[in-house]
Amino acid sequence: MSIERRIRDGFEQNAADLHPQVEVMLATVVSRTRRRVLLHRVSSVVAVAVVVVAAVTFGPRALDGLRSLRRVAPANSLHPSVTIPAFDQMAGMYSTTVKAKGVTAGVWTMQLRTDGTMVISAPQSYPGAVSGFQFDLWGDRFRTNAFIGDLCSGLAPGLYRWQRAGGELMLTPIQDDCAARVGVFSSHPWRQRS
Amino acid sequence: MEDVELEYAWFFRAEYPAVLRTVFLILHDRHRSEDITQEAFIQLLFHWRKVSRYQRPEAWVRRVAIRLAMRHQKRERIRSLLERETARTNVLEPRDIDLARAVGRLPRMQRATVVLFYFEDRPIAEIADILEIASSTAKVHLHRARTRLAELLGEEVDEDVH
Repeated sequence: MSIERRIRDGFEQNAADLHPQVEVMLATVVSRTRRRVLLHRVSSVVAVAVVVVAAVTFGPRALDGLRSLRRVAPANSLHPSVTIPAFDQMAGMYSTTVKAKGVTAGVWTMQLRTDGTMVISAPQSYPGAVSGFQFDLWGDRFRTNAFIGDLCSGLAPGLYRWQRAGGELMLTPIQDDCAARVGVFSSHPWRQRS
Repeated sequence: MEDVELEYAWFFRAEYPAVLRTVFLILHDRHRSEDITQEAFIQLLFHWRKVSRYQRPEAWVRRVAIRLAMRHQKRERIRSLLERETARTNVLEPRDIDLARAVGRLPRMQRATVVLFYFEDRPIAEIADILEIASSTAKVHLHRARTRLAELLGEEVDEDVH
């Protein structure tokens, strides 16, 4: 007998005794598939829930982390000999005098805090609000929403470039549509008091 | 799901026995073969909406079953090497025990090739597709398997076949 014939006949014989209970197997397969589909759906829901919980729990911390990474000193300072403070080192009390006539004329003091809040003390003649303001730093950029409740109402926060040298803080406007804020923050340097 | 299951049931009844027999001829273990064939058909039902639109869904489920069988063979070989355990349970004693033993001594790719070629009468191109190998490789597997089986069984090799 040739090997061809032997293999074919042998396979036929060996498979001949195999008579599966097709209907029983079908029921089993359908049942197991349903369980698997259910498990798959439950797993998907759980996975989504885990992602949502993780986002809610860790999201704010991650954002804070990213924010702190951005709080770095400017890379290309105009005064390389001066120690350029990072965000924490920027904190302190500053004062300036606005000499131009108007509601903002007079002596201003500004306390920058490490948590990004700022407390402003205005000249007595100034009628507006001076609390609840914030600032942010990244690189050599300084951004603040000061006077957003009145003088700069409806306008975007102002963006400035900051430099410190010789105990003075200079803010140069980059983008600020609020002329009054530009006048207070950048018409004269801020002298550090503490 | 009901319409899908009706369509699937028709397909299952037509293909399940053939796939089971093919897997059995590769593994020679009835319970393992049933487990593996069931798993292949579970995967088929899971993907039925997509696979049923294929030109040949039976090739898809066969491919899955044979891959699972070959994976099982690999695991078993490693396990037997580790455990030195040859006792097997739930084995259906084949009528042609010599052939079954000889096939059992072939490497897994040769085993699958020879079963698909001689039992299922699949052409070389289709075997290559199912096993995801080149046609020339499938021919080599078949040639080697046939030569080895002829040696083990003391039969003549026909040189004019593929």
